[in-house]
Amino acid sequence: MSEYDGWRRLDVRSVLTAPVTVIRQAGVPAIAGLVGLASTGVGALVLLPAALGAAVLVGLLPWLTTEFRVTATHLEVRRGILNRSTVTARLDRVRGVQLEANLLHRVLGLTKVAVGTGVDEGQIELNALSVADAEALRRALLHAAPDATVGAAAPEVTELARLDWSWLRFAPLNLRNLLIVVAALAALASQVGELLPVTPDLPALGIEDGEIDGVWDLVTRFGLLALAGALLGTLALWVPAACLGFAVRWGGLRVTREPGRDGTTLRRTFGLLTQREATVEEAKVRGAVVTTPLLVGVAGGAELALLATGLDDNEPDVLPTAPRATALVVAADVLGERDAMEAPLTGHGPRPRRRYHVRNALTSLLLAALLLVTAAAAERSWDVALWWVPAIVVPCWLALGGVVAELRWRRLGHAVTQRYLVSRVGAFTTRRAALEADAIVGWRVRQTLWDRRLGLATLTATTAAGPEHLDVPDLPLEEAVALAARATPRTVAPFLAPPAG
Amino acid sequence: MTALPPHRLREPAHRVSDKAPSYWRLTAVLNAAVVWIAAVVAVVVALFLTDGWRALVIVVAAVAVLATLPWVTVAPGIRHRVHRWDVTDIAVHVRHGWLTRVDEIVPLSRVQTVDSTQGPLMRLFGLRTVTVQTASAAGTVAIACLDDPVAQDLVARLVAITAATPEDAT
Repeated sequence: MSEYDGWRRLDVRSVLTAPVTVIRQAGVPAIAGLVGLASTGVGALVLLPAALGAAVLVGLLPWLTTEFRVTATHLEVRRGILNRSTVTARLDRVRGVQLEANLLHRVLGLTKVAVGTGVDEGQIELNALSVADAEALRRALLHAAPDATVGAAAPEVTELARLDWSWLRFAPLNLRNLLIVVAALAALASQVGELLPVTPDLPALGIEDGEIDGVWDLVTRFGLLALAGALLGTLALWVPAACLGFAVRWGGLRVTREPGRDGTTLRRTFGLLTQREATVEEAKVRGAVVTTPLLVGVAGGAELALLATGLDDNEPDVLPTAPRATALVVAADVLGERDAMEAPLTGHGPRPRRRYHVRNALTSLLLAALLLVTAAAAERSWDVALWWVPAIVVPCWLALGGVVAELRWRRLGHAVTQRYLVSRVGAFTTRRAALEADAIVGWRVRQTLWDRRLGLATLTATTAAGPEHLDVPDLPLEEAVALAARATPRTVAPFLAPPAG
Repeated sequence: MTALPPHRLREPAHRVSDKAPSYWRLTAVLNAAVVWIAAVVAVVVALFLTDGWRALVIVVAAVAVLATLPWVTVAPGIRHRVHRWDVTDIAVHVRHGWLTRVDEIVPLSRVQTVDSTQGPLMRLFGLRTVTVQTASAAGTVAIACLDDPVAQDLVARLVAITAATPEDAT
């Protein structure tokens, strides 16, 4: 039989990567501890090598104690010294294989293998194998019996998508990442702010002593300037940072389809420095999601993710922000039909629109009342006139809320295509999800007290794929029932009332 | 796509046990008792406080006590009218809720486990809840508070039907 018949160890070179990981994780506290000890007089010269030695030993353990083999039917992994455990996974239950190689791995020619078996307890991880071994293992697990691959030609591969560097233009428009950066900057700024002297050097700024009356005055004086500066600074940092981040994460992206053990598999490789690769059986893909953040959408971009079952992440993304046309082509290819992502959707009628606008008006009223009470209290207690705050904030809130309400209503939509139940939701970020009707394992029609007054309902299709449910919100009750009946007639039809009249 | 012709779900055929309202009322009383005791304690303490606070504490306590009353008084009756269930050879249909109304339909070919549970209080009333689980974490459906024999029959029937439909549950 093949080279995979007997028990095998991880690649020897993995011994080199493990200590680095251990040192990186345990290093800082260890060094802090050593510094503490050294300052109390104990010789760090003895302890430091000892600590390093321990780290190397700990790093050696996985290599010494981990063995694996692929038989004709199973993947078996043995681990541990005292608690020896053997994990056995049936090959036909293997649902996906992920390879990951960080820079250190790549220098050493290694890659980490994670095998998803559809069991919720997670994956079987092998850290690390040589690149060639990992590839052979991946094929053995996903594509064919091990002996069949030896000497066989590489499987036929079709490319679905490949990164185009022009996609970089979408990176700065994806504000989700900007929020993360801003939060990081703010945290940094607060740290730096604490280090700065508390009182600014006023004469140096051309301001006489006593001219500035407290922090409030300082803020009003320099607030706008500081805000503008912060905005420009963030923008100047953000655009290159976003592009760089995008390039590092997605460089070399390639999505391909290959024949597998049972049916085809989708394989995605990406990463400029750390290379990642994931393979998913297409039979486990039960739908897709196209997400369009506002600015990205304006620039003609969209993101594509899958709804799958039995993976570590059941909503794995396929493409980063890419041109909409590309996302739709790949989605159509994977879903097997264009309608799911491209057919026009049915709106939910005037009732949800009224609801969203009324809700906006009510929250605005509540906000106005709150601000007015506060302003009145401020005037009475401290004799400060703050009436301009509600006068500015409330109309802005009302207008912005109105835009959100209107967008939210316009985006609402649903459809049943040949094979899929489709729902679109969102205000600024639109999410159009298509779930295979065959993957629906139950229905829920939910009406709150307010829903009942308006005759609306939220229809939920439960499923094992993706986030485990697909919602069609704020839909007239009769249409919700009709939609469920259309998507899965066999299940719902017996419970329908005879048509009225 | 054109709008679908409107449809309604018919009322599921079976009611839950006639003893269910008493059980719901008892559990509501037990839950509310915590609030009531807290309210009484608060009012007693408030009587020793100065004027402004005394009124506030009494109002809050009264509101808290009043807020528990619907669950003890009207909710069990409404629930009993709403809660209904139906089983065909193909699917289960459950309707429940009193303020929020929920209809749930699960095809039996997708059922992974059928459980029945009976808490100590339920045993007192001879009630049992039947729970049907699917591969979706969001898709568990419970038929609450059936008479014990009805529940046992239902479990047996559901198990028989699901065993006879060997479709992939995901």
